[in-house]
Amino acid sequence: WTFLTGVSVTMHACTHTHTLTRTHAPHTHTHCSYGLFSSSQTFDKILIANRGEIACRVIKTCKKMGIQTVAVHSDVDSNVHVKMADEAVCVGPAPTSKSYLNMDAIMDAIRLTGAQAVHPGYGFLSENKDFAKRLAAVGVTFIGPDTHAIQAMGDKIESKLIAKAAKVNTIPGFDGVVKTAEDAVKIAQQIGYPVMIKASAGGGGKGMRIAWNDEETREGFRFSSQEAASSFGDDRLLIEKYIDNPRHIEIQVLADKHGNVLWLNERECSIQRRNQKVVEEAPSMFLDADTRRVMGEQAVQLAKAVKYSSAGTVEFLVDSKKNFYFLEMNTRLQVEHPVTECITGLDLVEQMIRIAKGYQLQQKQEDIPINGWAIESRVYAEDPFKSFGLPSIGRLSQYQEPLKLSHVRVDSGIEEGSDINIYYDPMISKLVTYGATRAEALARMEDALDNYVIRGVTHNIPLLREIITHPRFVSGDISTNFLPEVYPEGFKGHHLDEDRCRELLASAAALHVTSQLYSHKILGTQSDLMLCYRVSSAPMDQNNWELCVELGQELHDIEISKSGNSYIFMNGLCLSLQVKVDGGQVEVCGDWNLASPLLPLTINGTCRMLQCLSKESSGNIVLQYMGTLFKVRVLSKLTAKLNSYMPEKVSEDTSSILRSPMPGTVVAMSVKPGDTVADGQEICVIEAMKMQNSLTAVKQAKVKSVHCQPGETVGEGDLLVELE
Amino acid sequence: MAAFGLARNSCGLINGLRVSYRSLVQVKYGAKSACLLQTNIQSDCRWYSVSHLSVKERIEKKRKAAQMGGGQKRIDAQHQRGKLTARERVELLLDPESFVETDMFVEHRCSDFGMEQDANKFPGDSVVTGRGRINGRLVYVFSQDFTVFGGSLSGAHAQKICKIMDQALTVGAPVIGLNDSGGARIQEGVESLAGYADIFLDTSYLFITGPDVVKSVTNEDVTQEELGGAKTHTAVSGVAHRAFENDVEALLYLRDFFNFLPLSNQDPAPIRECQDPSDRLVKSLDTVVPFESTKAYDMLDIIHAVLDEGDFFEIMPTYAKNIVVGFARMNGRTVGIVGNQPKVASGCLDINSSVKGARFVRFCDAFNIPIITFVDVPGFLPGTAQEYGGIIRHGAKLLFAFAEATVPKITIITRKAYGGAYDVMSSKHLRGDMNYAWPTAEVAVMGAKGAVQIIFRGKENQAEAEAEYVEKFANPFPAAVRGFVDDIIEPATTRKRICRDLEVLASKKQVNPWKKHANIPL
Repeated sequence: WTFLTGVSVTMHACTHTHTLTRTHAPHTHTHCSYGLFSSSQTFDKILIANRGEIACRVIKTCKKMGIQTVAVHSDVDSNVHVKMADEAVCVGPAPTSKSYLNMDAIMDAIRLTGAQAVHPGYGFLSENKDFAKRLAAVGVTFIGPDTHAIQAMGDKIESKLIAKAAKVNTIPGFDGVVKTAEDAVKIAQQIGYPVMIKASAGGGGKGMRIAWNDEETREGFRFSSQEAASSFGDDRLLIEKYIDNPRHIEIQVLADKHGNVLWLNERECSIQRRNQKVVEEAPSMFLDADTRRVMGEQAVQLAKAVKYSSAGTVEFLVDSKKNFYFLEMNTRLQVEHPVTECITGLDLVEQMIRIAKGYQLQQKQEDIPINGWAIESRVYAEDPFKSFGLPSIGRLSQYQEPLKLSHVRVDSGIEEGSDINIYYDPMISKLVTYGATRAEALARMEDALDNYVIRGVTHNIPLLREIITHPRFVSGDISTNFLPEVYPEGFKGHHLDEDRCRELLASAAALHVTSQLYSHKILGTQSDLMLCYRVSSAPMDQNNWELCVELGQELHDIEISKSGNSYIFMNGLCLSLQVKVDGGQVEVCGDWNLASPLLPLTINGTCRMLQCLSKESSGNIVLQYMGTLFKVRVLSKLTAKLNSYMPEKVSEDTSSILRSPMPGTVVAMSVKPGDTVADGQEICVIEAMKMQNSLTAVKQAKVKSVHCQPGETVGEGDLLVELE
Repeated sequence: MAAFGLARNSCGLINGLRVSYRSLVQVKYGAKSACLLQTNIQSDCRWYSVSHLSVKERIEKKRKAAQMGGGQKRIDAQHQRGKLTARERVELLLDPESFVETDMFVEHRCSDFGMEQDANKFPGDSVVTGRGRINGRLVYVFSQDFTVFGGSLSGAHAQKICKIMDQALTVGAPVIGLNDSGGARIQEGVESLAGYADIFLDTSYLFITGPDVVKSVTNEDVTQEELGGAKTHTAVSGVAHRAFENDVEALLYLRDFFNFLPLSNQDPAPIRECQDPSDRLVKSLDTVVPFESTKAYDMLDIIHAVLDEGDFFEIMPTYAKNIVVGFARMNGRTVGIVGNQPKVASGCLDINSSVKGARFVRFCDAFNIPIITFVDVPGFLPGTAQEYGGIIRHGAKLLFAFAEATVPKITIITRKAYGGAYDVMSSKHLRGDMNYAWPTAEVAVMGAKGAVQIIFRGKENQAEAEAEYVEKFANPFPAAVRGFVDDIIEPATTRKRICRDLEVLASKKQVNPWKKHANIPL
């Protein structure tokens, strides 16, 4: 057992289909053995003050280290992490402020379970110094840096000052209270345009304004100072040089309590939407060894300057000339930490736990490798066709992670049947692929995305797949503006070129033919010999089909014939079909199993993984191809001809009117005029027969008017809410 | 007559309606179309009996004419209405080249009002009949031809239909009727005949008396669509069992629907080759029932997850939506599914849902189709409307139907099974073969709150008593210890259990005591 294999077990994260067939990175570094790690006594019991995938991730490592785990959860959230943990404590109702951010309840849970340490994950209480202090007060270890470092790095201005003092490159700029707009202009001129103005206490892109001239600076000052005062109660402003078209590259550091600090290479996190990362990778194509080393060393200097211990991340903006500037330091485990684990072979959670216990780092800087390439896609329950991703909610009616593929790691905290609700982050999982080279990792990512089965919620796999196959991304020409630059009109899904279109049409037609053949496979019962003699059933001996496939507005004529041998297996039909479509010839082979959501086909000799989302008697088929969903309608030529006589469907727009489906009492109205509701979001709750029925929006829209109030009795068909 | 009835019923489920062709309006309509024809047809096609043609030529001529029905103009008019012709429908419904037509040369025998003229005779008259195959399986078909006298019913027309029905009866095959008719042909005093009608959205109307008569008798103003349109009959009256967008969609769905049914009531339910593993665990079912027992969920989620390939042919999806019924397959074998729908009116049983369920259960029993029942029922819907409407009588229909059914019956209680409604829903007491409870099941006389309010009326600490009641009854144990459920199962294993049981129950034999006919409370 090398250390790496140990990690690969951990990396399995939170699925319940444990096939241990992945992430066998070709690492030769066996600096320390798995056994050695687990022999170091750390804690008996750790409470994980988080939920979802990161809670599962931490529990995995704890299990490996023989540590008992305690999960906390809200009363609507007893998901996978609760099942995985040895103990679980409910810490409050659904809203995070009342559960996962409820320090009192979590302190009670610690007392109740006797946990010796707390791993905060990311978000929630992970960078909350008060929480760390309260833990310290009762003698419970906080698995993270000490409160001083959290505080110092939590403040944008202070962290910048410290960075400056530690000789870390910082963005030229001014920080402090700016009195007037004219002061702001003066400062901006000194720094040189463009400049960025933001509230010192803000974060996550909130209250950020970019100014390209004096006028915009005045305006930016006005907005940002107002926002700073109202949102954060802190009127300090930050004016600094704005780096146009920057990359976001961060350095992972690991520090123990004895002054040893390592840098674990970089992560490239430039692909973002609304300042949230979507695709990350390690290493970055952009950095050369020298830049990497300088960045790493500066990150270490900063960590040392604040006496940092545990895992932390120093974020930099890097301009096109490889100038890099300190952005901020995250004093926690990052979402995207798996890519670093893949290329360095370290288990960061394990390291954090050891460090928290007071152990020294076992590695030296020269022990830290870059082995291969790792890419992470954040799979979200959101609709990428709307501003690159607006949350969608729902129940995962079908869910299969692509764990059968090698070199794939999936960190998730949900399973088939889980609810993705409005209370928490809509992340479904982090899909990580690994390869000796970037190209290999990318090819595996493509495969993994195609093999990922998610039903019941809208997800962003179409976008992820487009990103990782986009020529600009593949060549490494990326920046934080990648998405708006590549999709100025918004994301529209995969654009089929002529060949791909033909392949899709051929696949759909072949699927139709297969299901027709399958419809003929009615078996006579053995006990009823009579049936065999009666002319009740004739075999299907058709070998050619003339079909018509509708895609978008266009109709395509298709001819299909059986080619070569087709034989029937126990589970499915192995069939090779010659398809003539739009004058081109396509050969489609497959081991057709219509019960499976996955449709592995060989199209003209190339393996393609399609997914069939629905197939109706009317000939309508929804296929996922190249990541994007396509609606086609396959009809026989005769049917298509007759169908042309049918009147056009006029769809009535009932999506903007919500009527009461039953007589009852309105118990809750969750919206008011002017609110924007998401697809599937609850609009109101009607109680009938002591049962609460949640009425939801069928599209994303603004609420135009509300026609009832809680407590009111409504009849069936009464107008409740109108959407715009 | 058993097989005959069967044939009618097997299509009756989708086609649903027996129309008595006797209305005034329809008669009026028939007259109108006849007048039109007299003028048009004469000039258009002068193909009739010509002596200088040989017999062979005349056969050819007649055949050709039969193919054209009422002529190209009328066919075009039919298309313009968004409707297909009788022959096009048959072609679409049946496997390619499988149609064998009968009675192509039959003509009407009316001699009044000028109908005896050759110009008013159409070979085959106003209906196309014959046999063919759907996915290789034998079926008899008649399709009324609206292009000939508006598809109106003549003696010859009726005779043609009766002929294929008799044939179907002798071989034990079903009959599908595609109805498109204005009514009885006024020129003939026809005996009324039962028929069936497919009903298509926006182009189809069914009523006993049309809007004009309604207006004159009851003074109601109503449109054709409101009175007898597809929406009315699928959502309000429950007369039609499913509506489709148009002819093409209806026929495509009908082909798939046909695959679920046995060819006759003497045949076992058909088994199709199954690619979906019968032992597939359905993990999503473990979390489908919400924690709060008052919260709704979609029973269709459970149904779709359990079935072969998620393929569910729902019957009457827009009528009495608090109960879900339809056909599906388990390990390839056709089954009938009945489920309370907690999403609509809490899944309670009321008059309409009871009748809908009862009809479906009887259909399954008549055609040897095992019944799988998913139960989450809080009770019968209370109120004067229900009581005055005879909920007791109608609820008894569902009870009677389940009790009487001798096909394999498997029941899964997913959550609530309260009071009389519990008994009705294929309970052990109604000879259920296998009755399962999920861990979330609550088999009790009523909900805790209501029960406590009655037991401890006027007393304090009701909350405490309620908690005790919940502890005692809001779980599957009381039913399990009494043997009212055979086992408490993990939801994920539901599919596996049902498939296994169906295999065992395939040889189930149960005979009801002899009686002339059962006496369901109609």
